[in-house]
Amino acid sequence: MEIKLYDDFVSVANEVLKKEVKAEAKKGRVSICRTPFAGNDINVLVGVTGNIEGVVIYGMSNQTALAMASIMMEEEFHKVDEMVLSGIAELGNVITGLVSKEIEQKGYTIDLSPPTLIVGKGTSISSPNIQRIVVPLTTEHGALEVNISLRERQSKGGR
Amino acid sequence: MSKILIVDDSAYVRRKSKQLLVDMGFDVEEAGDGTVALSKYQEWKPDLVLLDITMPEMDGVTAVEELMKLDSKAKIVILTAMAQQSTLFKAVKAGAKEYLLKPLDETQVKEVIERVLSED
Repeated sequence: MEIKLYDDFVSVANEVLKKEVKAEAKKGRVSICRTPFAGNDINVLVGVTGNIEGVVIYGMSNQTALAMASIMMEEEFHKVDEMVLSGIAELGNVITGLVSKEIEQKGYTIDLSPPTLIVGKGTSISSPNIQRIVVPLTTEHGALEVNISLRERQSKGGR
Repeated sequence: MSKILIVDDSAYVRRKSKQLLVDMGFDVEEAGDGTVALSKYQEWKPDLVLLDITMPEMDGVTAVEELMKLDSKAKIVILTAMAQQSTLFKAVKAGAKEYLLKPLDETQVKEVIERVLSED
């Protein structure tokens, strides 16, 4: 059974973006993809295990990452360096972490991996047999795409 | 001046929380993982440890257990984006005194740290 969690991701992402990058996020058209995710310039991948399993990937351009990191750290960044990547990874970590609370409240157990960064446009990432829900978010600093590939684990089951 | 050790694998979180705590008047050191945190704890003897949960190598709950073995009176505050009750319960059961949710809220950080530092 595929689970519908994108509304939780949208509301949590909006809350985190407001606090961290001082921007409102507008949700675009949500779509369902079965093709592999073709990475953006910067992609933050958070693995999910438990009786909900899969992966959540946050993708954005270098320009968006620089703009967001500059607000987060109150310092102008012109180059994507380790500190910028660390800040962007943390955004993905915080959004997924806070959504995990909502998931737990739905009666599931869940554990998260530390965020993994994949840098480079066009990198193909796939989660076989799990559909990918693509949620585009737009902010004044640029676009953030949330790719949610999660499903309820069949063998152990949720509630 | 109270000494606080920040343990988080994210350079961004260490930088942000260090700025915040230094501005509050604390003496701050940082560690990027649980293993470094254990040796730094023994060397520097902080009054409080601010500890992330989701870290590679040694996760936060294991780090709490190890720190408590070193010092059963260690004051540990969990710093986490993982708001699930089950994870926080494990950390508290292992010996953590309190938790702070990311993204950090300045007022809450101050309140929780001062409360834990004032406990016997």
